[in-house]
Amino acid sequence: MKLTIEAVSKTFVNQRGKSLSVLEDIDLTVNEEEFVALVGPSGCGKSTLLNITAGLLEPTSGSVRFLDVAPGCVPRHAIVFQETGLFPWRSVEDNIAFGLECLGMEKAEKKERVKHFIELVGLRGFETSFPHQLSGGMRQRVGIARALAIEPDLLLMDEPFSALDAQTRTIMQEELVTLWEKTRLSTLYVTHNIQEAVMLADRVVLLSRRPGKVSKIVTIDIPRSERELPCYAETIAEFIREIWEHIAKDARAALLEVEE
Amino acid sequence: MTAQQKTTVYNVPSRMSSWQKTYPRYISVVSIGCLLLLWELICRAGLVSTLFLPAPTQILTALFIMIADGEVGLSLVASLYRIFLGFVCGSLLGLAVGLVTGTSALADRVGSPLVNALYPIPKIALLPLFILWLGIGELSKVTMIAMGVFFPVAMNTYSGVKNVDTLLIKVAVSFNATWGKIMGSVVLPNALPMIFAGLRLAAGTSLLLLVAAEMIAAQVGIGALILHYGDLMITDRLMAGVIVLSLLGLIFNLLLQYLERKAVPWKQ
Ligand SMILES: Nc1ncnc2c1ncn2[C@@H]1O[C@H](COP(=O)(O)OP(=O)(O)OP(=O)(O)O)[C@@H](O)[C@H]1O
Ligand SMILES: [Mg+2]
Repeated sequence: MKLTIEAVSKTFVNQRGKSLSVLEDIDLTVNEEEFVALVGPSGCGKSTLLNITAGLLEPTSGSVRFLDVAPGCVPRHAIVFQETGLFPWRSVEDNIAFGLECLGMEKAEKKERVKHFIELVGLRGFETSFPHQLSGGMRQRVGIARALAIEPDLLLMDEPFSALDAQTRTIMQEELVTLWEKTRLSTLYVTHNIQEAVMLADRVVLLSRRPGKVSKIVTIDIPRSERELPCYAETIAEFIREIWEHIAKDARAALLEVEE
Repeated sequence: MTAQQKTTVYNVPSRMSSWQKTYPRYISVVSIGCLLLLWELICRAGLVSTLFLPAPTQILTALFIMIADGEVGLSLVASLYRIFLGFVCGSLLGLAVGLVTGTSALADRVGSPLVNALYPIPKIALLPLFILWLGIGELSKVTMIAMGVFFPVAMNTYSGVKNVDTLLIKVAVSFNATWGKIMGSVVLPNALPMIFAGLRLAAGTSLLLLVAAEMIAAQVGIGALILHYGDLMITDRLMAGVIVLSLLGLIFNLLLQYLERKAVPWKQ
């Protein structure tokens, strides 16, 4: 099963009738067991594309579909949101159970599944805590566990670590690599952090500034779990430099636009 | 600059302390006790006539006598019945209307102007009408209390539902949650704190309406009792009735606070 995004465009029209073209003619494929990172300057439409992919937002034109779907199977998305989106009135375990409740899973199986994913993201002992009692990193892990628990066919992540400090972020990246190796889910990962994209992804897709278009696709052909090793440091740095040079012009222009 | 200038030490003062000061709980008890004592002394000294202001001990004695001969119990049962029935009916109806107008755009267009137009009417003004329609019995009084409870609950539920975070709705939709699941697991919990604020407002209103209705049209009840002793100018018994009312309000509030802590555990 693979996901294809075909010729997707999105134009927002505000109350005064002014239209803003955010995405233009996006073509993108996420293959089975592939980790694709979407990188682009702030405001280029990454979150918009992710929302369209998940069916939470209607594209102005174009389509999103799964190919090679087994007959009778309805593909499932799971999303990890930029702002976690945990339910403040649900404890950690109940937050993780939410998606399972929507699937109508029976109690015993649900309990088992929740327990497994709490352990997977290292939150044992916090089952009954409420989100406001957790740190930012722990909250994000609950969000990830909630998404993984429904065993989705496609995992969508929107800058899941952007609110974290640099140390926690690095640790979470490593944890995500280990987690991903265990589950090997097809993943579309949005970030504006180039280093993060290079450490995690099989392919890095670069979006240009508004209107967002795919401007370049970089394939990172180093085994994911070995990217930390010193022998690859130079190759990694080369990838980062290549991507940075490609988007630096865009990023600078975006900054100037904000300052205007 | 001379080599050895005189210097002093400056201790940085703790400048937030006056804003963060706390006092032990017994201070409230002691201060109320002092006030009562002052009141008692003024009465004992004969500074005011006990007809106008009976002493606290006198009121308490009257209260005990009234409890002992069953007068308080009888009134309390009648009043509790009315307020309980009115409160439950009014708040259930308010909850339902608030939820529906808050979620359905059509119900919002139809219902909200109606609610907003009827809300400012003092409900006590409707009692004569209710008596005309429903008779002098319990139903007219209960209906009026229910009306008074309905509006704050409906309006608070409505705004609680309206201000739900769209991100959380998005999360629920992304997990393919059904409409019912979204209502029960996202919209309602989100509105609960507002709903309880509405219930506490309504508790005050219902007590007010209860007494007013009983003064206008009832034989038994705390309101009728107070009015009765007012007419007879037996002030200590009148004040005893007022104390029962104040205790009733206090217990009502505590009960709601307890329920809120049970229902909204995520807000310490
Ligand atoms: N609902 C909306 N209505 C109108 N304009 C919108 C809406 N949502 C997003 N936009 C506009 O679309 C553009 C892209 O927004 P989007 O959130 O997709 O950016 P992003 O790439 O995720 O940025 P960031 O990295 O800062 O999260 C922005 O210019 C934004 O103003
Ligand atoms: Mg975004």
